[in-house]
Amino acid sequence: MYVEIVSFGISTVLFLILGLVMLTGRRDNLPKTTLAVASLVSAVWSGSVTYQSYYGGLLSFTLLLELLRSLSWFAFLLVMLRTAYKSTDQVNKNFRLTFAGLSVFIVGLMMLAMYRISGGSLFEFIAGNDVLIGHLLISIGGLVIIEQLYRNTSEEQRWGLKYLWIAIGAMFAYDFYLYSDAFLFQRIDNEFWNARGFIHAMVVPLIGIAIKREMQWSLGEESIDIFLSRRIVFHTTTLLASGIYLIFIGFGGFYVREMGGGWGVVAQATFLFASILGLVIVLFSSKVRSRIKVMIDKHFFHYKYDYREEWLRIIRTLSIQEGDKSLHVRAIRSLAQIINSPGGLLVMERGNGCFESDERWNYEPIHVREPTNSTLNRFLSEHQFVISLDEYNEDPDMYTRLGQLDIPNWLSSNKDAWLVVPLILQEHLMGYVVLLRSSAHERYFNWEDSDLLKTAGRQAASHLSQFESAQALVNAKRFEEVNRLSAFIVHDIKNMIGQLSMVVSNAAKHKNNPMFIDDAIITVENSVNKMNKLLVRLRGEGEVEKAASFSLCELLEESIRNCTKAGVLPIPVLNCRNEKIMVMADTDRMSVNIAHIIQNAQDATDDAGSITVKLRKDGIHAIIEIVDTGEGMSEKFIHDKLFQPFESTKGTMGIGVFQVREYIHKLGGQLDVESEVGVGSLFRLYIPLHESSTGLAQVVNLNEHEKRKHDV
Amino acid sequence: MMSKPKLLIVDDDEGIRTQLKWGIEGFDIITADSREKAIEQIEAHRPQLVTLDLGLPPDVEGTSEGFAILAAILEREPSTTVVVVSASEKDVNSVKAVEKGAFAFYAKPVDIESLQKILDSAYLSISGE
Repeated sequence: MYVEIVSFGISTVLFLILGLVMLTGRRDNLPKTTLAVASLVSAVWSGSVTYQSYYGGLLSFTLLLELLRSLSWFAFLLVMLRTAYKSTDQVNKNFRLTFAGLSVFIVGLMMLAMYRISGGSLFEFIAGNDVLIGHLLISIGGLVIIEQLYRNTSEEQRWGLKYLWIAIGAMFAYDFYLYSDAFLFQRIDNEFWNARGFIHAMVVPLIGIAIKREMQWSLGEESIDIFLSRRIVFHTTTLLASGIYLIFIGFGGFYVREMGGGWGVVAQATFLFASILGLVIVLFSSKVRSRIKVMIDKHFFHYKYDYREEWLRIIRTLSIQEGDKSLHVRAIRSLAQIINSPGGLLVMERGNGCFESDERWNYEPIHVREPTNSTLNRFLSEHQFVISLDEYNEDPDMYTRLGQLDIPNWLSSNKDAWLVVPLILQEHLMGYVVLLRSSAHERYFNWEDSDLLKTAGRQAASHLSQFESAQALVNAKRFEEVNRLSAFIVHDIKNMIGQLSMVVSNAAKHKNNPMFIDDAIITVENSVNKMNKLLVRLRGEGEVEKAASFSLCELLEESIRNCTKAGVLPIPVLNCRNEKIMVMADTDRMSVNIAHIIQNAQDATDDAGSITVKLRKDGIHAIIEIVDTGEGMSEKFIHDKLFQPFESTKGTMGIGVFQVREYIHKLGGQLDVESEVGVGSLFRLYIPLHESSTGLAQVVNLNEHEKRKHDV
Repeated sequence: MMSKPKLLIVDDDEGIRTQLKWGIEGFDIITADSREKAIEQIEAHRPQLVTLDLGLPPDVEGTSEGFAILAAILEREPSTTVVVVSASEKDVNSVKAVEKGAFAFYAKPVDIESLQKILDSAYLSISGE
């Protein structure tokens, strides 16, 4: 009884899993639905046998369920048969007739079974000859349909479907064997019956493999989506192989000990240790792992690659900085790892009309200079193909019928060079990667490898282009800085020349005037000061500031006074709630920056308008708000132009607001702008308070502001 | 005896202001180093001529403050003759200065004789002598 419970219990669980898996995803697929029904009915039947053997009872129910199970498997096979015969009206008609006939037969058996229900054991009951013959006929019928299915399955599909036919055939074959035996001996053999659960359980994995292998077996349109990770298959295969190896080693060790005499135990220990060491070495060998991976890809999966995983790996390799490896090396690696290539060479287009070697990874040192109009470059540019040098050597026509292609010496002379992958950016060839031969993939390069490499090449090209753009931007910024410095130097030198030449020309007239001498000395001193400042700036020390803590309220008062000295209107109104708001900054620069915003507000506002300057404290920031009722700015202007240097509505150079924001950011603060055309503008400056000093708190606070304010 | 015409020199560089005062002849010279000071002087003395540096604080390395002063002067005293003096080498600034109402644009470094001639001719053109 115990064996029976275990046997049918396992069968119940496995069929239940299979049935539930088949119910996932889309349901409008007849083979899938019938397979799900057959699996679930099998699970219910196995479950009822398990229940019956443990608790007793349910005999008639179990008997009926077995017949129902047979009917559902028949239904599945017939649906598959219809698919195999192709769907014509005649076939559909035959299909319906066959199915109706078999259904009548099985339902008749069920009626008979119900009629004969009269107590006694299950086996005695089933052993009634008529029911036995019925079971035998069902088994034979099932085997006949499977034979038909196998013969009518195309060569291409047979690889994927054979496990399905073997699995269901095995079920029917065992049933045939069981009931033949019962028919001969007039009783069902207990052992055979108990094994039936195990036999049925064994076929479930085979059905699973078939589903995974042949996604299109279900009418060729909808696939059954069972995800079997390559990684899991890889590890399972490795584990299984290791397990088998260890069993053999175990036997070997036992043999060595038995035959080793006095050396037996020592020899056994040595043998076992050497064997396990060998296993570890093999498992850690990248070559062996590559070969296992290729073997799994070849034999277990419809496609060679798990594209999701490959894509994630490519992006990871390109994006994540590893040690000191440059992006260019990572670009080579991202392509090489796809086909387990041990190394590669990156060749990039240069501005000199040539493609030149750029970076290499495990590739022999070489300097490549390939003219842009060489046949290789033209071929890669026009056809964007991955060139397999093996294919080219075996059959050059494969490539040359598309266009002229001569493999240059630097490439053909390297016997390890295998593939040339173009890096295409917006249909332009920006370079290519030469990959070294992969022993694991030897003679195993097809359209899938080519497509994936080509696509990955595009991705790598995009990253490389982005990198080069960023580099160009950095260089441009450096040039801009140099230009600004040059302009500053020229400006100051001109002033100094002007001052000194005027001293000289004025001296001709006034050299005897002591007052002129005094002024001349002051002028020379002024020039010397300017020269010193220039030197400081040239040494890169110009940004040193005299940071000091000061009252922001007082500074605002001073700035407003300066902005209204000349009678400029409107006069800003200051509103300081807390006069003791202290910040740490260069007072002069802060004053200039605030004055700049106030002057902007004055320029934008009619004399009759108003400007309000408010100061308050919020957490770790002092907040200055400069509000005007001026002409305002459009959202587009704020976004596109306000903070762009050299943009202005006033016809001036317009670097002011840009500089203000840069300075406020430098202090760890922020500048927000809100504006509406015809209504006015609000400039809000967040400046870290002097008493708060935790950078983290500042960042958190700024982030909060980010959420609720419109930061431009 | 006729009083000399008034010339306002607007420049943030003290040395330039001082030496121009010694070098330029025929004018009663007053000076300013910022927008506020310049407007103060304009309103107090109503000078006929102004030499204006474009690179003034807070935009020492640009020209925005200089052009703002030019606009402020001409708004208050449209008859003032302004000679813009700048270290900027960009033609666009000279064109812009004239467009905005300046009489002439003079590129630094300052040469006293040349500037004197420009100022003399500027004064002649407004005085009609």
